[in-house]
Amino acid sequence: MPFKTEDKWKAIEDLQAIHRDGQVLEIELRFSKKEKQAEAVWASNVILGQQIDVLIGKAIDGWLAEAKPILKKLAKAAGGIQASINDIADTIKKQEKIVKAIGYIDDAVKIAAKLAKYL
Amino acid sequence: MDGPHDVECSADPRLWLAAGLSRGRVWCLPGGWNAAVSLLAVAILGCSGAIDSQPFSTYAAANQELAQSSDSALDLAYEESLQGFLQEASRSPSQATRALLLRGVADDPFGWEGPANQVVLPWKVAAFRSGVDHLNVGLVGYAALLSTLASGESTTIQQVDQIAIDLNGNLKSAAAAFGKESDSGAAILSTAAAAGLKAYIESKRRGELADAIETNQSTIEAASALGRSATRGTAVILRRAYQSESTKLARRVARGGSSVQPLFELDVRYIDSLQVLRRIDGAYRQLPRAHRQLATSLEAEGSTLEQIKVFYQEALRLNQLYRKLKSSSGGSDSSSENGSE
Repeated sequence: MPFKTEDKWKAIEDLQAIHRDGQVLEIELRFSKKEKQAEAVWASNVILGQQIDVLIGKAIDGWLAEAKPILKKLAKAAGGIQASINDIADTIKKQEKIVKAIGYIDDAVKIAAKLAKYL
Repeated sequence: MDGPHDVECSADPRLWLAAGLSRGRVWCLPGGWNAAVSLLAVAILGCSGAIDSQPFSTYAAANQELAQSSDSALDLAYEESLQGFLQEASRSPSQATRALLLRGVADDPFGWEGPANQVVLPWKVAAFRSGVDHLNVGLVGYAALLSTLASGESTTIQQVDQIAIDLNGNLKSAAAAFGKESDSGAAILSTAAAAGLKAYIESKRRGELADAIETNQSTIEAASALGRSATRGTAVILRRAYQSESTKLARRVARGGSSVQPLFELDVRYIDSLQVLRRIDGAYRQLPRAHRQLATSLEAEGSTLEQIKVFYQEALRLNQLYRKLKSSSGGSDSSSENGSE
């Protein structure tokens, strides 16, 4: 079962703690003027740092993959609300059309009234 | 004079008004009855009341602030990771060079990839930032649409009022054509019809909002978790850069070439960054609660809506903190030295 992104971040954080221990050790050795040992610690830590970078890259890839379906659902949610907004706008437009229709009928009524005077 | 002209009655005044409108018929009653019937219709239809759109616009604004803060944090993470990569490259040019030798991708004429088991971290961070931006744009867009639906901006109450005016005009003309003087009856009918329509639309909007909030709550919770994960990842990236940079500065002190001040200043910026990230995490955590509380705002007038206020204030403070952090960040000396520098 593939690791979830949260588990990946946790694993990287643990490795970063070990990486930090190595850096602190290197600095302690330098303050103690033990340059050769300090360089050896530094060299190992460089490799660990590069591996951490690779893992960060993989965790980012994992996050992006996890994000896809959620982003689709968000887009769908927004689409649903837009549909509601459009629906209400249509309701108003329908009423506007009805009032226009009443206006046309009103015109017909006026014409009928005039005709009635002559017939 | 008066009596009904072919108007249908029903138990539901909304249907009654709608029927009257749709069939183009004129309802005429003795003057007092007009007023009584119209007021009754308005009283029945007007129960739901106008939606308080303020919580929705506050929620939308808070999402906007959170999105900006989140992106600013990733902008910083990108810059730091880029500096870190360039420093590492100056120490180990062969490693960096290998990582920068890109290849094509099978079955993708526009694709590219780096060597396996090597990574150019700034590029990954740039892709991360783009993905997080998509998340935040989605959240902001959703919140803005909720706010639009709640405020009724797109429907415009003016349109409904214009319907009343037009209807009034038509009814008066029709009455005049039969030699009848226009009276307040037509105005009351058109006003009542408009009030009925408004009340119906308010009720519809309220229902749609409540449904949307309920339906989308789980999506907002998932988005919130994603945002928190992204924030945690940003902290990981910043920690990587900080540990590298702080070790470099400590080496200089150990070799006797520098004071501790640059290291101290770096620590201050790093701690401030982590504080901002902690708050961003908190804001994402509050997102689902604030979203749920929007439903409460529909049900209870004058509810305190504490969660939404807290969410908004938190998001505002974030952006202020981040701006302060950005202005104090001068960047450290990234010049390379030999060997393990």
